[in-house]
Amino acid sequence: MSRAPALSARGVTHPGLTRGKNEDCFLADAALGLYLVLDGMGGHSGGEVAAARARDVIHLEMRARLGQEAPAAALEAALGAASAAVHGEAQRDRGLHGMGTTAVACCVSGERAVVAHVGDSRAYLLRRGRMRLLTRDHTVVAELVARGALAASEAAVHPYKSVLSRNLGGRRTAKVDVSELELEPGDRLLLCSDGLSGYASHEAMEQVLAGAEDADRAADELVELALRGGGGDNVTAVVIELGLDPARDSTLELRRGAAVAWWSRRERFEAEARERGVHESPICAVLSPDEAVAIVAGNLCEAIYHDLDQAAGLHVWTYAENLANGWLDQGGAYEVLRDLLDRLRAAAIAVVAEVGEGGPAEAELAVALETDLLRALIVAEMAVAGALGERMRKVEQLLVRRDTRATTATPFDEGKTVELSGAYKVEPPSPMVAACLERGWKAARGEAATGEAERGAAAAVGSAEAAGAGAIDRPSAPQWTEVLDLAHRAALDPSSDIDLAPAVRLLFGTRVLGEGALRPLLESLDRARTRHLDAVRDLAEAPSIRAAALHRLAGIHEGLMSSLALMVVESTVELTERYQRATTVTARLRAELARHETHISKLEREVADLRAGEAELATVSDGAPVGGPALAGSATAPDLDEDPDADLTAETVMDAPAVGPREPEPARPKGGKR
Amino acid sequence: MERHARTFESIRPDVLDRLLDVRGSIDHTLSGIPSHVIRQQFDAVLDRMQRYLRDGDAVKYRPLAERWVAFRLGEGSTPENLIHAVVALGDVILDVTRGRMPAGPDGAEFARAVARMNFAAARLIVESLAEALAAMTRSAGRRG
Repeated sequence: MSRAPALSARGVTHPGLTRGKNEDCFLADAALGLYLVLDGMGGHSGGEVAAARARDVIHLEMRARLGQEAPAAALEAALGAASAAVHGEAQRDRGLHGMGTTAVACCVSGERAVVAHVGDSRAYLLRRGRMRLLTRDHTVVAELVARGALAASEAAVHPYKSVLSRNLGGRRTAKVDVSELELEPGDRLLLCSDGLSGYASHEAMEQVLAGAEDADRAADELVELALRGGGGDNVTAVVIELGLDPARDSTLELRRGAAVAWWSRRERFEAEARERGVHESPICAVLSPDEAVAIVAGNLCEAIYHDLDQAAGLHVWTYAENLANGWLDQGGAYEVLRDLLDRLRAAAIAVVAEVGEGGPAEAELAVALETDLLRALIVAEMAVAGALGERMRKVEQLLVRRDTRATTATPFDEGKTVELSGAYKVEPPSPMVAACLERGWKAARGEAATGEAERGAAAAVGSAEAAGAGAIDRPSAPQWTEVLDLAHRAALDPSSDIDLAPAVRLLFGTRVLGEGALRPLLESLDRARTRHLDAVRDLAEAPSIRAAALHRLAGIHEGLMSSLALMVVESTVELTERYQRATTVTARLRAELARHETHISKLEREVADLRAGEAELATVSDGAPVGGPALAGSATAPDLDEDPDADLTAETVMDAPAVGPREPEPARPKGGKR
Repeated sequence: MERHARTFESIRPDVLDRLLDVRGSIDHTLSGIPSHVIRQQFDAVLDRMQRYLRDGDAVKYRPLAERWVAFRLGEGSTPENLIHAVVALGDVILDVTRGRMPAGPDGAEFARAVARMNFAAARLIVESLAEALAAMTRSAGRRG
C-alpha cells in the first residue's frame, strides 16, 4: 500500500559571528504549507522591522488568499502586499526611511511547490543527492551577468555583488519572481539568506543537505557550516523535506531483508565455497581445509553481511585489502588472487540462486541480493586495485631510481668500486667491444706520434718545472702513452676483477711527495684518458658497441686515477709514522732535559750554601762580625721583646747610634721565639 | 539480454546528461574538457556498455580496457583513480536506472544487469592493472 509522503520542516536563524543584531527572520507554518526567509536592511532597527513586518503581512495575506486563489497568484500578491506595507511604514517613520527586505517564500501543497522571491535570498532543491538553485539573485551584478555584460567569474569579486536590484519595501510595488515545481518523495527544499549562500560553497551545502538525517539536523548543520565559513552575516536556513520516499523505504526494507537472507545462509555459503575448492587455493596453503573455509569464506560472508546491512563497503574493502596485501607481499601472482575471488563469487551467486527459489517475492529478493552482492564484490575489486597500485608505485620508484643512477652516477658506484687493493670490477668485454677497444687504442697511439701529442707531453713537463719542482722524475717523453697502454691492457683483461694497483705503483715509481712530483703524473693520466676516450668516440662503430667500450674505458681511467690517489695516501703512511716516532722521542728528551735542569738548580743552591758556611767560619776565626754589614746592622736593631713600643721605621734603624763591637748573642733555635 | 540493451538505450540520454553533470567527480581531469568533446567520449563508452548488455562478452572489451589503462597511466593517473572512474561511471548508470525505472521486477532485473556490467568493467580494469604491474616488474628485473 502506498503511503503519502509526510512533510517536515525546520528553520534556524543566527546573528552570525560579526553582527550585533539579527535582521534575518523566517516562518515555517506547516499547517499552511508556507515557509519564508527574509533578510532585512536599513539603518538602525530598520532591517529588523522590515523583515518582521513583511513576514507578518505575507503570513496574513496567505492565510486569507490560500483556498481562494492559486498558490502562485496568492504568493505573488502576498509579497506585493508586504512590499507596500513596508514601504508605507518607512514613509511614515523617518527613522525607518529606506528600510527594505529580501524574501524567499515557498508554498507546498501536496506534491507541488511554489517558490517566489525578491532579492538575493535563495531557494534550492535537493533531489537524489543533487542540489540545484531554484532562484536567481536580484542583484545588480547578477542582472549584468544575465544580460551578458559581466562574466560570471567577475561577479563573485565584483564590489557591487551585494547591491540589490529588487527588494520588498524599496518601492510600493515589487516585481516578484514566481516558479512552480513538482516535488518527489524524498526531495528537500532549502530556503536561505545570503548569510549561508555567501559563506558556504555550493558543494558543501549540497553535501550537508544530502547527508543530514532529517530536516532538523540539516538546518542546524547548514547554519553551522556558514558559521564555520566565517559567519560574517546573519544566517538563516529553512529546510523542508517531503517525507520518506516510500520507494526508498521499500528499498531499505528489501536491502535489510537481503542482508538477513544472506546471513541466514552463511553455512550454505561456506559449503559452496568448499565445494568450489576455496581451500585448494595457494593462498590457503598454510591452512587446513576447515580453517581455510572458515577464515577465507567465513570472513567474507560476515563482511558482506555487515556491508549489506549498513549499505556500506568498508568491511568488504578491508577484507579484500588484507587478502590482496597478504598474498602480493609474499610475491604471489595476481591470477591466484583472482581465482580465489572468483571461486568465492561463484559460491555467493549459488547461494543467491537458492534464495530466489520459491515465489515472486523470493525471486525479487534474490535479484536485490545479487545486485547488492555485486556492489560488494566491486568494492573488493577496488581494494585489489589499490593493492596493485601500491606495488606499481614501488616498482616505478625503483625503475626511476635506477634510471637516475644510470644517467648521473660515476662508474664506480655499486660493483665498480676501486678497492684499497686497486681492484676494479667490470664485466669482461665482448669480442665486438674488445675489437672496438683495440681500434680505439691504435687510433689513440697514432695520435701519440703526432706533434700535437709531443707538444702536449712537453707542455706537461714544462708546467711541472715551472712549478718549481727540482727533485722530480722528469716524465718520460710519452709517459701518457704508457698510461694509454696500461689502460688498454686493463680494458682487454678478460677477468672481471682487474687489479690496477701494480700498474699504478709502477707509474708512481719512487717519487718524492710534493706537487712537483705528482703534477706531471696526473697530467699524463688526464691526457691519456682524454685521448683514449676521444679516439674510441670517433670510431665508426655501432653506438651500442661504442658506448660499451667507452663505459669500460672511462671506468678504467677513473680507476687509474683513484689508484694513484690511494698510492699517494699509502706513501704518506711511512712519513706519518716517522713523524709520530720523532715527536715521541722529542717529548721524552724534553722531559729529561727539564729533570736535569731541576737537578742542576738544586746543586747550585747547595754549593752556594756551602760557600756561605765557609765564609762564616772564616769570620769567626778572625774576630770579625759575623754576617758582614747586614748582620752588623741587625745587631743594632731594637729588641722587640724587650721594647714593644720601639719604632721600627727605617729612620729609626738608620739613626740609631752606632755602637761598638759587642759580644755575640747566643745562637737561637732556628725559627723559634722566646 | 536484448531487453536490457533496449532499456539501457531508453535511459541513455538521461545517463549522458547526468554523466556530463558529474564528470568532475568521476574524474577531475574531465572537468577541463569541452562539453561537446566529453559528450562524444561518454557516448562512445555508453555505446560499448549497451553492446555489452546485449552480448555479455567481457573478453571482447579487454583490449579496450588495456589500452585505456595504459593510456591513462601514461598520463599520470593513479590506478586508484582509474578504478574509481569506472566504478563511478557504473554508479551513475545505476543511479539513473533506479530513478527512471519503475519499482518492480523489470527495474530490479535491469539494475542487476547493470551491476553485473559494472563488476565486469571493474574486473577488466583490475586485470589490466595487474598486467601493467607484471610488465613493470619484468622490466625492473631485466634492468636490475
